[in-house]
Amino acid sequence: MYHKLQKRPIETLEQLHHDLQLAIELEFSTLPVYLSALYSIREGTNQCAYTVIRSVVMEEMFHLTNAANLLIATGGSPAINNPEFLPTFPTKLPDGETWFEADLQPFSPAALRNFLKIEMPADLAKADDITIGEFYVGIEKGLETLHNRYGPALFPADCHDKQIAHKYYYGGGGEITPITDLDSANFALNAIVAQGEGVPEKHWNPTQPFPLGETTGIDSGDHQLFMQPRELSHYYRFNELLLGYRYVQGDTPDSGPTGPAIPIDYRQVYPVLKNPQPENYHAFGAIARLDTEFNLTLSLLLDQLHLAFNGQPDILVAAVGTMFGLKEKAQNMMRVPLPDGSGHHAAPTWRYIPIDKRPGAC
Amino acid sequence: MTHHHNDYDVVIVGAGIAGAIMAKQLGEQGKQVLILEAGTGTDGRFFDQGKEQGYESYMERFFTAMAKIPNAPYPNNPNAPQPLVTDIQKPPLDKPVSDHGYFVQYGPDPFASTYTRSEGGTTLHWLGTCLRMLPEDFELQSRFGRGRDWPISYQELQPWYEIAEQHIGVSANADVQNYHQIDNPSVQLPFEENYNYPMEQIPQSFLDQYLAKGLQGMQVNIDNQTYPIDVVATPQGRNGMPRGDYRPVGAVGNPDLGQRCAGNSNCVPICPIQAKYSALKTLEQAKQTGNVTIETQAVAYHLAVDDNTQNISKVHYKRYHSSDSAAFEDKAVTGKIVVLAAHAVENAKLLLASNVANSSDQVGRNLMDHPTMLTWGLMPCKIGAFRGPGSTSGIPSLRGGAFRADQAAFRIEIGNWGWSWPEGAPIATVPDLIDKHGLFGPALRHKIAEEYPRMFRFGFLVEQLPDPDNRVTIDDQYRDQLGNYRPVIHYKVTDYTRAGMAQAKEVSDAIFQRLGVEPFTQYKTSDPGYVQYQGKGYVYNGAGHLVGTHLMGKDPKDSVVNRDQRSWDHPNLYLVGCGNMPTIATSNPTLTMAALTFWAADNVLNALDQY
Repeated sequence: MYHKLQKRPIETLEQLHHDLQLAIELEFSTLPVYLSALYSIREGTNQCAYTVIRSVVMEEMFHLTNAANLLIATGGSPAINNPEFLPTFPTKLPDGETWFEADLQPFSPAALRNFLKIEMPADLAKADDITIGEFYVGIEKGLETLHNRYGPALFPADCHDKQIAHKYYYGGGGEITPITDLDSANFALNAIVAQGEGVPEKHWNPTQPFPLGETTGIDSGDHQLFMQPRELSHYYRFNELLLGYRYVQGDTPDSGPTGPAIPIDYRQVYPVLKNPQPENYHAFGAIARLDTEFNLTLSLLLDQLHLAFNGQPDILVAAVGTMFGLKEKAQNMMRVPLPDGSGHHAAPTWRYIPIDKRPGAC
Repeated sequence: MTHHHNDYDVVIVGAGIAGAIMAKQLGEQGKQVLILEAGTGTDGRFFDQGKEQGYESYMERFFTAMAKIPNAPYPNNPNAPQPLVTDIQKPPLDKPVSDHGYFVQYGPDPFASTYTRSEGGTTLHWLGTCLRMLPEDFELQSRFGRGRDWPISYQELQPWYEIAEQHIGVSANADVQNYHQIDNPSVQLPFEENYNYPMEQIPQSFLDQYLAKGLQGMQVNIDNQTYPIDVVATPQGRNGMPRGDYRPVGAVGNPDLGQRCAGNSNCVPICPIQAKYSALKTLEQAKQTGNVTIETQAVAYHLAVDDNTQNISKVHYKRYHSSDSAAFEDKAVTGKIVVLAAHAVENAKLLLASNVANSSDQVGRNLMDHPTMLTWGLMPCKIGAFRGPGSTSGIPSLRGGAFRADQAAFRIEIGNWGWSWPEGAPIATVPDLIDKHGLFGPALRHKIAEEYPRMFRFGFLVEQLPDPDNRVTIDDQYRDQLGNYRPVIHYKVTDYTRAGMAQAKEVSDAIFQRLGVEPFTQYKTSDPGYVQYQGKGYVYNGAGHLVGTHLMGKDPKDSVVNRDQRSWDHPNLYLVGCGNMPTIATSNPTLTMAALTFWAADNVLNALDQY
């Protein structure tokens, strides 16, 4: 129901809620992409790459929570546990980025190039290509329009306590701040854009050197927003992995990273299927069962997130355990070579199973 | 940031929690501090890229260790050896056990506790339990005619408890931890009005909730008085959900990690994400002040005394270059004030080796632990064993009461990890199912799936009284490879404590019966900790709570330090750590030790003003 971005300025509350629901789907749709690569890394190897991808995943969940809180704060209800919530991979991202598709694939240079497209800053993208950051700018403008019309009533007081509080979420992502007015709403949106694309800067010159200055446009923004250690935005963190070197002071986006080498060993990766489909496992009952187990855990997670974002935030405590279960089940699959001689290993298909289709349902 | 003088405001021996707190407090006030640490360190690194340092190397060592004992992740280091639970044997009647491990044990009972000699100290493998002591625990002698009184009261320590809880980042709810819901006034704790812990309590396990429900309204009778049995969440030094503006400290060397406890189920011996507090976090904060230097691989072995002032004039130490070789440099350093924070046993050893601070003849004496008796069985239904932190609740309602005149009090710990402690499950018990019971295939899977989730155990942390004959001494015959003394230990478990164990077993039997738990507890005469009381046998384990070797008191004739935790004999010598505690009572001692150390740091700062 929320599949495509409608290309129009946001003029009504309904349109705002539509786009915020889309934002939640957008943030979640990056997770199967990143987690497929992350979990394909053999345990204990490629620690640097593992940490970088994991930190981005944490921040995507943080973005999802910010978008959901804004939806809740303006009187909406996130819809998370339904088959339409998750795209089928390969997929175009739900915010209307038509110029590439996101793939599920093992950790590899190809995966990193795919990540770079997802996190492309508007300043680097071609003029016609919409980016995630630009999508959020549209939401910011819509908020302003509606705030001019409704004033503070845009953020009803009885919606403050239904939001997800910081106490449920910290470490590695950012700080959830309650949304009660236009300023706090813009802060939450800005945090998403700043971490993903980098702090937007009108007169940014991509030949301008580091150090990760406040105005170079490639700083993640965590430093200013949350008093956290300064770090690069997602795009440049992934670019470091792709090129195998760190950015250091004096580097520019054009020069690329010239700092210390990052040890990466692509042989220490399970060669999992790219964009696996349920049909790939029809001939292999045991693997199909592992995939179903994974999808049942994923479905439980989406159910829990749905309840948490709809008035029962305490369920997030249990959802954390489910997230660990998801990792365990994904890794269980990825250790298994397909018995077809292809050399590929199994990988989860990331499908939501509705309650009435689950084993044991009547 | 590293100052290399030979002359510091304060020299601290030991980089565990007490040394770390002391260093942080002093460093923040601009004092120049040197910490000498006998063990190796991680240099604040999480990853080590294949090197032998860094927290990840501890994780790797743990994963590959055959015996997952508390010290398994932490390297064996013959230059700073540490005791291991696998070394413990029942001492023979005629000769000491001198050839097993680090301790030399004369018995008659084995001392079963261990500690970690490494940067971060024993907080690297503690469970994280952060209980306060009860008001009556400070007045055991005047209230019950047993043990000793402290030179300070609960009320005086109370504000320091709050500081320690904020610093460690304890997860708990004050309205639960004041025990006002327990119908036993002896255990109720006065909290400061409006005080609450920095983080909300860690969720209680399914087992905790099952027990709480099943034991509702249960009472036991001791000396014609009834006492309630109440299940209460335990305060923990691990990250939960922060209250208000409180923000927990992330993992040292990897701020992306270290968030909320994720129930990795191996916090003893090592928390993979550092969600559990360890002294490494405080050491990092101490270093950030720019005034604190940590020298690892530096074993203090002698304190020199100025004959005129009786001040400690120099700390002599052996700086070894690697744990592979006994080669070392002999060095010495001076501090206006010297603080020993090297652990109850190591502090005593160093004092005895230097012949200082011992005019009372109490150094090394009054060694205490919580002899910990286990009971275990199978629950009638699956209670989700082997999940979450090691323990999330306990039964604290017998921590105090009139019965302490005759027998030890005890705290009951509810274990979340099935029979891991008494039987080594699941790692050690699965091979038994295969080899001894001939199970394989579906039958093996069925047995594991049916029984393991029902595995249940209690731990009874039984009180021990200060006894001058329970002691750490040194003996020229027993030295380590650097030529430093090994601890020689005399230890016994008296009838007061054994009576507490017998009482605990009775309570356990009553609870098992009420809940329909099928008992599997077995106390074998061959167990090192086997003891008898009134014709019945019990087994105790070590709790790792080493207390009392340089206790504080009101009188220089029968105590080692005064209430300021300063040596009675040497004006510039302070002792910190659990060795200062005159009694052990029933709470795990780390929180109390941390509170005392914040107080001691204040006293050291005041003393430095006079230099």
